[in-house]
Amino acid sequence: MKKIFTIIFTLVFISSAAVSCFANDITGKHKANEITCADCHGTDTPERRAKQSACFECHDEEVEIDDVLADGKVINAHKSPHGKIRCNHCHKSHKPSVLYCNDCHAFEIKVP
Amino acid sequence: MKKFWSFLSMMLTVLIASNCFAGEIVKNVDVVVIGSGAGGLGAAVEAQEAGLKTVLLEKAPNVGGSALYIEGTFAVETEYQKAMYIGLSKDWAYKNHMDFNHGRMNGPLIRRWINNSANTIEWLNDHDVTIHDVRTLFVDGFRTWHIFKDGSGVELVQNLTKAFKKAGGIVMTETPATDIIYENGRVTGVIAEDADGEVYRFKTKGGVIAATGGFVNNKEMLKKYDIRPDYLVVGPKKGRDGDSLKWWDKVGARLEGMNAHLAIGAWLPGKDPNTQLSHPEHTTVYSQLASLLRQPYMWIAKDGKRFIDESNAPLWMNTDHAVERVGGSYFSIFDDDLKKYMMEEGVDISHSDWVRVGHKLDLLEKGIKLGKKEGYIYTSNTIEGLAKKMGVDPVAFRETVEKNNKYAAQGYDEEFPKQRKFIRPIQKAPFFAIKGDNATLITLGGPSTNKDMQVLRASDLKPVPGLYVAGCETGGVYGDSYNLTLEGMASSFALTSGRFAAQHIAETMNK
Repeated sequence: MKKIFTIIFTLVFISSAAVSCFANDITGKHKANEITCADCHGTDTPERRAKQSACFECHDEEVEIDDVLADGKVINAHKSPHGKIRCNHCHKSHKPSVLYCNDCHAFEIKVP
Repeated sequence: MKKFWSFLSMMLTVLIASNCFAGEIVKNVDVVVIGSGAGGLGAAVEAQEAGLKTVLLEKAPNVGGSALYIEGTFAVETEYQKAMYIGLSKDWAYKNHMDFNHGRMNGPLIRRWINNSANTIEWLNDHDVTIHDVRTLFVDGFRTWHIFKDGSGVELVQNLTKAFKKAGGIVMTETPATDIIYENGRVTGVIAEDADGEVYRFKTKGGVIAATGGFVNNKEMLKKYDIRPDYLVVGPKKGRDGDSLKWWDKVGARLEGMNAHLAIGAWLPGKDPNTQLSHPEHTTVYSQLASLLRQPYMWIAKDGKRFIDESNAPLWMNTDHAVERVGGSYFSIFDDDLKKYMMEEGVDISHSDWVRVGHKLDLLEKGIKLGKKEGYIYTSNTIEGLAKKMGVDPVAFRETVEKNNKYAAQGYDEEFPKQRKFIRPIQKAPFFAIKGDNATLITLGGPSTNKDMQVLRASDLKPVPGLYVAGCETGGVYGDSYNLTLEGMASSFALTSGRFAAQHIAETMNK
């Protein structure tokens, strides 16, 4: 009986610790480049989201991209007038990316 | 078995430690402000500039909250008004507000706020916030509305945040306050969790100022406090979740006006109202369509009958209740003559400051096509055909139109004594109907306070030491509805009440 409990609890422990990696397969370029859990989360068994600083290990902190809107107006979504926003509010690694701006605005911009 | 239990407890400890507990970061500060809308920014800037070590917590990724949606702010006896020969006085505004709300309010606080409203405008100027006009939405209305740059709160939020940081304040976005620390009858701090999952324990020497923006995004709470949970919502769609409600419970605060909210016109059904805002010089198809809902010609309820003097359109505190009584939505009717009139002469009633009186609806043809496609505009060559498409009783609707046309001919509206110039015949085919749904912007209820914005206990009406509230989640500022006759009150109160809270903490700490 004791042994069974031990096994069950050990399994619960391992699966809860490793759940994010098993449950959230990475997508897109991160997958193509064989990025591992540890590359972003600092551990192969992450329990927390990756820190903002993890993005800047590979990507530039300053991004200069002109985003051309449907009406021809050019904006730069990376230079928001509302302050700096964490990369992963738009760029998702475990699910499709979104445009956080569109919580209020209605820009037609593709987010990789 | 003992072994098993010890093993279990060990496993649990490991689990808890590894999953959610990495140790708290303790910070000693003077003030924590929760929420970075107009109330929070007013509080944070005033506190930090008074020399108080202040942390501003914002749970969203960006600062600003509802303040990003402010067009302009209320004040009386400002330099702007003096230069425009606008003679509205503090005494008059105080009386107006008390009368409007039948005195169901915190009189001493209202008086102090209105007396300091002009000072808040000067304070905004000192912090590089641009005001370029003093306007009203109503014909011959009271010009109390000090319009911000581009009719938007973006610069206000930017420059107040900049001032706060420049003075040494710390802004933490994506860091919700998860609890207040309440011990021995005092509030002594805040627990918060940042985006990386770090837990902070802020110990406050001066006080905690809650400015979380009410609970308009929390359907459960809306229901609890008797506000229809399926109102359309203008402004942010998340964040204003009533985070502070549990804290008011915790300290036993006295709550008031919990079912009051800032109802705001009618909007295209099933669409986010934010799509229908625009700059007055750059209107859009959707803002022009929304302006149709405010035109004063003929509004019809589901029963095919009129229910209000339609020229009340901009007076949301009247139209909200009237529209709620007929089910929360209505149809605005016009004919081909009125369509031509709105396109060539412009609209008679403003859609806030997004589409102004006289603005020509140059995008209306495109809009009508779009509205038909999206399912909220109906057209027909006959009144009965239109009634059928709207799903209203054709006989009742035909009768309503005939009566209206009689009123137009005789120049007097027998049902609702509408101004003569707005009584227009509905006679030239094709006929048009556009459907509108009521919306709201913010909730207006919360704890009762003293003049210094300290939260009062229900049991003895004494302040809870260390706990302050600011902005739209303060109780006692409105009666049953928002007072639109003094335009811009919500943001004026938010900024000024935030400043009052900070000033009181500074006084208490001898800063």
